[in-house]
Amino acid sequence: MRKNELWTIVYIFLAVFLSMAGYFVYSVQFSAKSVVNDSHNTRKKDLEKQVIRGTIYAADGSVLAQEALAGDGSEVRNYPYGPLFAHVVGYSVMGSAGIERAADVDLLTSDAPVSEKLQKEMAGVRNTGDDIYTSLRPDLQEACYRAMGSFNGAAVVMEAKTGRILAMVSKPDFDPNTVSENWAEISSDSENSPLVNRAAQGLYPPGSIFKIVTLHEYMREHPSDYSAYTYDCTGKITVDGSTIECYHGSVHGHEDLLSSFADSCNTSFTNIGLMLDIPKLSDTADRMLFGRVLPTDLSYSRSKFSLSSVSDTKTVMQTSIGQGSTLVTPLHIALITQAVANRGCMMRAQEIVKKTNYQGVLLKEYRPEEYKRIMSEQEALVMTEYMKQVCKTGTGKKLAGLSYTVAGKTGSAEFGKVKGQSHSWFTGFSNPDDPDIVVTVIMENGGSGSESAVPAARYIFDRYYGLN
Amino acid sequence: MVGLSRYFIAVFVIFYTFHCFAVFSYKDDEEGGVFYIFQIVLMVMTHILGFYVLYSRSGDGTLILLCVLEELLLFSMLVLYRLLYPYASRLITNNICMLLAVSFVMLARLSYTRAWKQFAIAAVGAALALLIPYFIQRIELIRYYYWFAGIGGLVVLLVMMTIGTVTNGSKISLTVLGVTFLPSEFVRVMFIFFTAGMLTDPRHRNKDTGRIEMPQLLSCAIIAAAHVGILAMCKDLGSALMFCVVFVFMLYTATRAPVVLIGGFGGMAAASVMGYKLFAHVRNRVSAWIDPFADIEGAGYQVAQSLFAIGTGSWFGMGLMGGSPKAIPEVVKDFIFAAISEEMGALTALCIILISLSNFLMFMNISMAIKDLFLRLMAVGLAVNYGFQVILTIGGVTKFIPLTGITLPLVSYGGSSVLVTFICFSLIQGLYVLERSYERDNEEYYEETDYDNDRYDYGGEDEEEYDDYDDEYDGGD
Repeated sequence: MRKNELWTIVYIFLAVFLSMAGYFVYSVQFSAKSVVNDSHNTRKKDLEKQVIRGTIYAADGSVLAQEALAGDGSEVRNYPYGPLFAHVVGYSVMGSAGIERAADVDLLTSDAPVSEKLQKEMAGVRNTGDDIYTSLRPDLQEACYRAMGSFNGAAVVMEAKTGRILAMVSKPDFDPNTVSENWAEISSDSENSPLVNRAAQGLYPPGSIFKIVTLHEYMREHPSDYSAYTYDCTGKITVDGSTIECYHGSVHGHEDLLSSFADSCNTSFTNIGLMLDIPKLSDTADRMLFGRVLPTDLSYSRSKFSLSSVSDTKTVMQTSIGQGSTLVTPLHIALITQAVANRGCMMRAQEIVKKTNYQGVLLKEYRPEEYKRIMSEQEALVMTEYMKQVCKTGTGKKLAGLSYTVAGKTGSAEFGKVKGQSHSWFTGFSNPDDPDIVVTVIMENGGSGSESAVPAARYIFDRYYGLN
Repeated sequence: MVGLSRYFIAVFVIFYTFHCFAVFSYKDDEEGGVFYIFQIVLMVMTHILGFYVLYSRSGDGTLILLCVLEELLLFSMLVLYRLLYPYASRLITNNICMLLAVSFVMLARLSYTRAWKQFAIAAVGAALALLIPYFIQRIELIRYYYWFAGIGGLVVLLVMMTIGTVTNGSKISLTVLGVTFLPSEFVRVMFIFFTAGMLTDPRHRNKDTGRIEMPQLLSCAIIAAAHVGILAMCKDLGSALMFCVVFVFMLYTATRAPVVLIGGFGGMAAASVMGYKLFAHVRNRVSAWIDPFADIEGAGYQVAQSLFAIGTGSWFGMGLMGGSPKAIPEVVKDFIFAAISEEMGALTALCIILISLSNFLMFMNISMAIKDLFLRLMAVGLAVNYGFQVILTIGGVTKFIPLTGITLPLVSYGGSSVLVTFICFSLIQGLYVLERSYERDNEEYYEETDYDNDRYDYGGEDEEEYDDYDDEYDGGD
């Protein structure tokens, strides 16, 4: 009797069963971590019943978050630095945030020696979760915090070649030690939104910071003759009935491409924007991750950029100088700056360096990881020269003549209806020949970039080089 | 002990599962005898340890009573089957009891009242399972009355369509004399009987070529389409799909024409696209499958909860009473696999997949051993029915495929599901017993042809020997 048809059925079902089992194994081993980390998962409380949450350390070995006993003997999460690391380290209650959220499963998984684990499980005692070591530096974090003064906004410091986050401050802040007691108050404060990590989640108009993108696109479209560009700035430019003015009515006169960028001349950049191939500009924005996923494990917002071949002249004019409907996060700007500093290659924004068990045995090391090349090395080097000029003679000249060199770009992003109100931006990196750190600062309603953000950035750079 | 119970349970279940596959290498049941006993020991230990953990963590003394009664049930089932049907497959009997044991533990943890109900249903099912192999020996009497099964099934489905109760947007249950049941589960067994009868009736096969006559084939297809059509109108698309798949595989077995498989799956793919366009809840299920977290408060809720449970439990689980399986909707029915994975661990859950696979393989093994074409086709139908149901349930819960809302045989809570599964398993056992008794009647023949009575040999080298045996039916190749 021939049974070929039965064998066919056996093979079909065997194949489906085994792929299903394989998929199940794969998802338990590899995709479960991100699933469990989802804020809708209410099961973390089950894990907490079995594992004592691990500790989070700063780069200098100091503790950022740990389990401690309260006065009444109950267990609480203790944040020794108080509000200083509120957003980036986050909190583990009320849905969790920051690193507490990104590393939730790691902190609640115990990789203690098996014999000890089994002993404790047998005795019904909780095991101790794994520890997380970060690249965050309390000295730079404190410098950012101070540099922000009383302004709302954010500051990000990143290692230029590795993409490691050294400091991330968002203001206004809150005290993570008391976040559950004060939850009702701080979560309902919609005017200041202290819980929002403005560094990664705050969406701001980029203002003149966006000229990095416009300039890059112009150089790409005119590779041989971009340096021959000239423009006579009269303080305003009117096309099809729309007018763009230079900041605070300045008139820059005769400008070439370098001085247009250094002086952040709006009219010249509007003129450049109108010469660009819009679909190509849109592709470039896409390549630089506008509207895209960012390489970070912190919660963030996607930047927004919308320009197409059907956009009208007014929109094109506004977009080329960073106004209009474009919105960015400080972390995104820091990543673009990091890519320029790193010869065009964007690294993953990492704040977690390694994971160990509670006894310090290394479990996993997170090495710096290349994410994407957003421009060629040559393009990045030219961009660096242009950004150096900004901090030498242009809007960032408060950073000139120091013991270190900075390449950067300022921005004054107008917002709201009232004319003249603007957020103060600066993004840049130090020691362009062998880049050290990237600093990105935004101060809400801080006026022009050179007014508030540049001095703040200088304060942070000074701290890095041990000058204050 | 309680603290480490999850590791013990995982180890018991893994050893049990290992023997499910080792069985296929034994010459016969006698050689594997000691391993079947070993399996029973592991099954009992899993069940008792599970209940011990539940008892020590809840302090509910009545759990001990339930545990003892369940042990008695499993034990009497195992012993009586061995005594009454020494030729039945011991792997299948063991697997029935193992799946029930895991289900008993999980249900006792999830819902105390349902655990007792499930126990009562399982007792009835076990009684049925003991009787069916006996009655099936009289199947010769009814094998040509398949039309009653086909038309009868349609009538039941039509009644369900007119007076059935709507659950979650699908009309799937029927209440008669205060008892609510899912008719489609029972009708599927009738349909398998009908199709097997239709496609193997020698009176409707060409005398010379052995091919099934066209009118017979067409009327079989029309009845099948009518079943599927009614279920689609009741919006019970999971069941409709089950009927389609069972029919296609049975037709393929009967005709041996690969075109049936290709055409059948092509047709089902086309029907799925149509279903996607026609039914909003199909679109919901598909979008919840692609990204359950996109609409986590809505369409994706069930699957997301299931994935949270599986992911949080990880390989060894949270331990019984250590997780939150009750947060999953329909956890005692469609999602019991996720609850097992959360508390007893993904290793145990993986073993449930493999035990189910070994059931399917054993069913197919039995089909291959059966020489009577009608009995063989029934066995294939029941095997496909079981295998596909497992794939639909576990695949849906683990996000391998879109969710269809079907129960996991013997593990999920539910009267209809448990009873029908008992019927299917014991039908197969009956067919196997029947076939082996035919063999004994023809002992002389086997001795002449040097047949080595090798039930578990999957190797196809002995195929040719039997070629002349069923040449008259060998059509459609």
